[in-house]
Amino acid sequence: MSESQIIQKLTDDLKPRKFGTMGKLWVGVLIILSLTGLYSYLIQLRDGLEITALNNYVSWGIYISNFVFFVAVSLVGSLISAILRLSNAKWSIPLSRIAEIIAVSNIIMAGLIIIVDMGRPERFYYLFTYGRIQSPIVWDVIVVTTYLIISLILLFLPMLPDMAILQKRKGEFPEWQRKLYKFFSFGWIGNKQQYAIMSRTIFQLSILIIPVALAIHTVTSWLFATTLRGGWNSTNFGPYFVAGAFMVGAAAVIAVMYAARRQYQLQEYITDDIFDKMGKLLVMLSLVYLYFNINEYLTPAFKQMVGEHALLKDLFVGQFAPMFWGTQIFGMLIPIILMSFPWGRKPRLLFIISIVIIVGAWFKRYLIVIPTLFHPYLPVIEQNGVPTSIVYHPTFHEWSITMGSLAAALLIMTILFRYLPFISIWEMAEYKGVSEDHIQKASGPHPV
Amino acid sequence: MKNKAYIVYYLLMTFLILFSSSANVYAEEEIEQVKPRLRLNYFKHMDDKSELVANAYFKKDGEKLFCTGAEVLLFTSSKSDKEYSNTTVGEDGYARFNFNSDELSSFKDSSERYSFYVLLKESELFKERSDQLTITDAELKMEFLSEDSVKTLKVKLESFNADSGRILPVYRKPLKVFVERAFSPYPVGGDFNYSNEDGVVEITFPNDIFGDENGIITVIAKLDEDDDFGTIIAKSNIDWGLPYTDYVHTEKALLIGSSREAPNIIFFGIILTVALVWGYLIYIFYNIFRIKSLGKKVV
Repeated sequence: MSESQIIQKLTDDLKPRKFGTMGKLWVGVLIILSLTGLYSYLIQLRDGLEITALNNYVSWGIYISNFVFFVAVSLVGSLISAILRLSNAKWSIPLSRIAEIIAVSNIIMAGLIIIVDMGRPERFYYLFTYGRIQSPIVWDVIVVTTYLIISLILLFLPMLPDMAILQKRKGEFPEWQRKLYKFFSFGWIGNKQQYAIMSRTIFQLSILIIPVALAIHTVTSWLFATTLRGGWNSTNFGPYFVAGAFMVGAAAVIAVMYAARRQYQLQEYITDDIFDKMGKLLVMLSLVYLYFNINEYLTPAFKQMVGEHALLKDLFVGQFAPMFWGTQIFGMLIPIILMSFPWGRKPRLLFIISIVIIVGAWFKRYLIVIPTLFHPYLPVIEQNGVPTSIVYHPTFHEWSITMGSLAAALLIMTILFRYLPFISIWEMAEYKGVSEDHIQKASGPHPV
Repeated sequence: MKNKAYIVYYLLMTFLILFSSSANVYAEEEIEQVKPRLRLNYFKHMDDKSELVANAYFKKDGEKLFCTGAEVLLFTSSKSDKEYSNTTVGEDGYARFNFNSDELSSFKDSSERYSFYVLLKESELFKERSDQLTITDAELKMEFLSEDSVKTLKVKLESFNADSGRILPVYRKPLKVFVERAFSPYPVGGDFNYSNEDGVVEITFPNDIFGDENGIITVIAKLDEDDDFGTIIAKSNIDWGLPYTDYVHTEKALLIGSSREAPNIIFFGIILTVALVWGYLIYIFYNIFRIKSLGKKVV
């Protein structure tokens, strides 16, 4: 097969395609869930946070645990696009754009869900006018914004040659879609200088995104760890969060690549071998996270200090015990055992395991955020001096907004998958041995 | 032409129907008076301030709503024609009347008890409602005893007994003790302390409560919502707390700090890091636009 034919075949195989019935149904469900969440949010805007179960004690509910979840999933962009790219793991080429799409959609929703949690969104402005630069909350705003920008660049910059290739394909896409590709090709004509600038910038950004990605989740962990509360007052929280984020992020990539492979019949590109490698990577990341979990719970459990004691009792044998042991056993231990065997890393089973890990990871964030708030150091009393018990059962509106935000993240992903080549055509061509000159020519202004 | 006439006719009819129906809606709307509930509470502060609080509210669809703006009249008795004072219900659902001891004497009855009669005046929104409250005057006193490092607080409840004509201790009443804090008061001495035959509750005071820089704390003794005496609150300052030394206070406040002593390096470190990263991102944007301009030059 000649180089031109290889590029032709790659473009045919990897160009964006219309959804089938299942795809349309999927989009419909996501739109309904997103709109339901939006409607609940409008009610919250009208009536205030009163419609939630948030209270003086549990002031951070599922909105914040959802925020931590989004931030965690978004970290995968740096894992696949940067770490694996820099370590020259060529097998991960088909995954880098999938990872960036996951990162972008999740970080967008992370930013939005924080505004939802504020109750009075117009006060977000005060963060810029009255924000104190020494506050971890301000660091979080800065680092989330920075990460979003870098992720967007890392998504769109390597796409310039692909956009140029696609916009030349007359008759295959509607005119508006071709115009969109032309706009996003950003004047790409495939000359050597453009190619050199792009390659250099991608390389530099791949380095830059690693500390920023580590910072985003470390700073998020500091929102908790810089307080003196049981369960949060830990020096390990930064790496503990980062380890957990890598794990759920890798699981998210596996789940999405399985769905994409099935939808578009991409077995040739997203091979069983890639699943096997991602499975091994996930085992390694899960083991690291397991280690941090043991570290995070064993040492305070050994000391049983006043504040920690009640919290750990609640987690181990109390009201949160089913959720706690569920996330540890089904979200970590069983997946590690299953994925340790080659048959456990087969696509279908790995997909199911990944989904379980993702669900477990969401509840794990719930367990990090909420139980601690049930155990304040100050005595729990009401105004008239009568002790009361702390309760938090998220309301329908909270669940609806949370589900809506999760659906919106999936919807953004789905739209990007529908209209963008989610496997890099030119990078795959490079991987298959097509010369640089030929790739430049294919993405140039003249017909190949 | 005929079509045009139809359109005009339908538009006219639609307008008339809408207009007439909305007019009917307004015509049928009648404001229904609600039957409010009224609850009286008496608060006596031992610094010669007393307060009668009327809580006026009603329930609609299971939700508790306040009779904000309703006029509330206070009488010395239910038979009295002339009101003693009046006020309106605030947004929190409470109407408040404040008295000193001289003013309170107007409410004394023959048995030396205070009788209050409160009337929520009828209005377009609310039906008339009244409630009365009879309170026996009582005194709550605190005595601070310190021996070696053991600090003991005695709280004594006494009341004037009309039968004997003497001030007598009040037996078996729950007295609570708190220390004033920035937010809600901090309870000390356990939850349920009942006065003994001498009207006294005695608690061993903790030694580890922070006070101000001189160790002064405000101790609060309270009899809460008692049927006979209402709520009585006594406050007293004592140097039984640990002196709180905000040592940073004496230093010049720095520009930044998660506490006031945080070093400048945090501030400048963050600013420098953000500036470096964003400076580099601006360079990246410049490069992206260079890619675009390079595309224009070569055809």
